[in-house]
Amino acid sequence: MIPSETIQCQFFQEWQPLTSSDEVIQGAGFTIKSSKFDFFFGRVTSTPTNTRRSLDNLRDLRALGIDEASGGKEKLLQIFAEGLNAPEVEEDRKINEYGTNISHKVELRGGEKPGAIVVRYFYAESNLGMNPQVTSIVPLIYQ
Amino acid sequence: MKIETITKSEFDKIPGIRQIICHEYAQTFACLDLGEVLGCYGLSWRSQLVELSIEHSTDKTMLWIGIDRQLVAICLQSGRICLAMPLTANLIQMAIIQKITAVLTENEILLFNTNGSLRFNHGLPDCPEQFSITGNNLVIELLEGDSFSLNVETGQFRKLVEEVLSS
Repeated sequence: MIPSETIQCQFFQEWQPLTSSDEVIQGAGFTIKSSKFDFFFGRVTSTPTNTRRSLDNLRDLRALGIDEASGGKEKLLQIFAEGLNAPEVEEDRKINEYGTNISHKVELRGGEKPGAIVVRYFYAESNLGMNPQVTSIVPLIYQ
Repeated sequence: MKIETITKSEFDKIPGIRQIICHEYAQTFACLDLGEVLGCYGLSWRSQLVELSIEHSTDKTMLWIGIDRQLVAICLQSGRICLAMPLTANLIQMAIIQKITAVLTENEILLFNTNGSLRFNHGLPDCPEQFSITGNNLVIELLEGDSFSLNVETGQFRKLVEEVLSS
């Protein structure tokens, strides 16, 4: 088993040792703050609303076949890499003074239920030539 | 006002024009009952855990409802939809401050006047956690720890430094 502080994955451009939860993970064509995975896997309890939103992520990701205990983090990193070339959710594009947010939808099969994950990428200073940062996800469950 | 969870088939029977919040992959369906005169409105949203944000305007004439990436304001006198706004990111929090409706999403803060017109909006550099209200100011905390202050009267938006926060 890979120790949580030294994540290694084929979807990384380079192997990056992680020493704290605030580290930035260098993915294949993107970056993501390590602390985001707390939100994805149900560990955020800062407010009642955020607790529910975090637990909602945990439950929906499990329904899509993504479980932290069985390589879920690495699977998400793979999805974030694939998402860069997935169809854009055009109505979600948002440009502000800090940069540009662009969402892509990655279809998923193989879990308990079919669905998708909408991944939002943030391009700082709207520089679309730079690697974006993954800022949030929205799991979608197809009934 | 009453909100009751209903089934998808019950939701589908509500006329489309009254399905005021609707998610393509909804897991929860509800009926908003505004009484005999105004009738029922349909709501559907993505999560079984995340709850609707609901606020009455200060004078109780407008009802604001938000969830997922949708925001609606209903006039409680006429039943008309005064605002139906798709958002580009999930709604996190909503509150009424000095008659103004403040809406926090994952990538911006929005302020609406009493009739639903947009007073102010400002992007955020990262996902926010919540906002609190101090007088005419909103203090917006980001997940990564930074905080910003927004004056709802003037729109002055500035980053707070640690000394200001602790004073």
